[in-house]
Amino acid sequence: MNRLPLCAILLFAASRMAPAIAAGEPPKDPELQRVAGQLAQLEADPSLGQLGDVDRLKAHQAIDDLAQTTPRSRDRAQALYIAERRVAAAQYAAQADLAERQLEQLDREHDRILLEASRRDADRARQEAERLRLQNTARDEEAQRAQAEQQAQTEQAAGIASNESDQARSLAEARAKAAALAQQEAALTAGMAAGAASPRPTPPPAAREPRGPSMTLSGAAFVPGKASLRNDASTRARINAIVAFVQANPSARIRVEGHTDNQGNPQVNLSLSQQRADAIKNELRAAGIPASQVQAIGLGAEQPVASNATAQGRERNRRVEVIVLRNAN
Amino acid sequence: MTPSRPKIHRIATAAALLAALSGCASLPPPTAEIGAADAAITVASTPDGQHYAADELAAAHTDLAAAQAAMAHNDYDRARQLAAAAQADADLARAKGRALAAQSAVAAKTEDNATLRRRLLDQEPLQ
Repeated sequence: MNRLPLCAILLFAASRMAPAIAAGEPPKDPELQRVAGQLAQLEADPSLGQLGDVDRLKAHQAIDDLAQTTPRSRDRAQALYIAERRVAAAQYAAQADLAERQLEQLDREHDRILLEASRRDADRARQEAERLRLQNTARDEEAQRAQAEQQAQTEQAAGIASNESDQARSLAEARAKAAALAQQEAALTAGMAAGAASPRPTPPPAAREPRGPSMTLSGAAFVPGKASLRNDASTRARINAIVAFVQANPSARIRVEGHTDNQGNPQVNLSLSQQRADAIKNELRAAGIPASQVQAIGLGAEQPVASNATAQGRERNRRVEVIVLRNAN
Repeated sequence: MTPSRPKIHRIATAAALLAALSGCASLPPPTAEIGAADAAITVASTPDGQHYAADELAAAHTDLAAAQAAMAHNDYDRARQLAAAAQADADLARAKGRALAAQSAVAAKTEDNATLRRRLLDQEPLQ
């Protein structure tokens, strides 16, 4: 082992000697320049240059190693191969980081669309309630006038009265609907605020076929390793948002999917993901959504949305997805 | 025509350095490097990696096998180089798998949002 420092000194001396030995020849190394140029080009890119930093660092190291070899030396081919692969890896890693950021933005946009749709529904219901109220008022006035003018025609008065009770009922129904939609809207708004605070999961790559609108509950909402939900405000808000989302689609079939990361025993993961999906199904049932409308399934680690190699990726893979199935609508 | 004295001196020094360096060639066996390459391959072998970067993963497996063979013949330098190449292949496979999977998810999600927007906001609400 104590040969290592000596070797380092000798290597240093050799590297100093190399230009002297090759004195007279200009130091030209097109291969090194090409690979280093590719990395420099990546780093100059305004949208990618600051991303994928671990792989970029390794690419720099590989280029440094390549610079230590001379064009005709024995180690050249291998060092060039490694440097080329490292630069390509840095390019892909930067693209991956960029695409993952775009996915987070797209998820936020997805929630904004749902929120806006729910807001419009509520507006529409409010307008309908207002229209019925005006109609009712007009009818009240008409009835009063009729009463004041004519007392003889009791059949006619009875007819108006029955009409009146119909009108009152539709008004009450419209008001109830407006109130329910306003509640959903509030829950969605609160849920979005809570969801924005934590890293947002992305859709599973295995499920690219458009199944229908979905919302995702991060695994952070559960007690670690268990199927019970945390009892905090942001979890509650997110659950309420999911309930509102499902209630906004009263006739649709709902699929609840539990997912885990790939750590630990697959059997345990499968059963935990099933229990978590069941827990969300129970939440939906408690909110008045019929159990027959909801299918809960545990998929274990089969459908990751991110790499299980990093802690961040694993966190994103631990999740429950609530999907409004399109074809059953 | 005889070489000048300084040139002889320089060549002699270079020869001495080369001789000394060849003694350095046998560093300890690269067990850790081979282990790291093996681990990098495992990390890269996700479904996305296998789907989008099959060639890179295959290259990593080939390099790792060659590194293990060199190790068995006590050719530690060669084993070290091949292990480094295998690790670079595996890291490339991992990055490529991540990038292509995420880009494909971006395309799907963009279309999904556009459809959702059309269904919910441009026309009648789903009921």
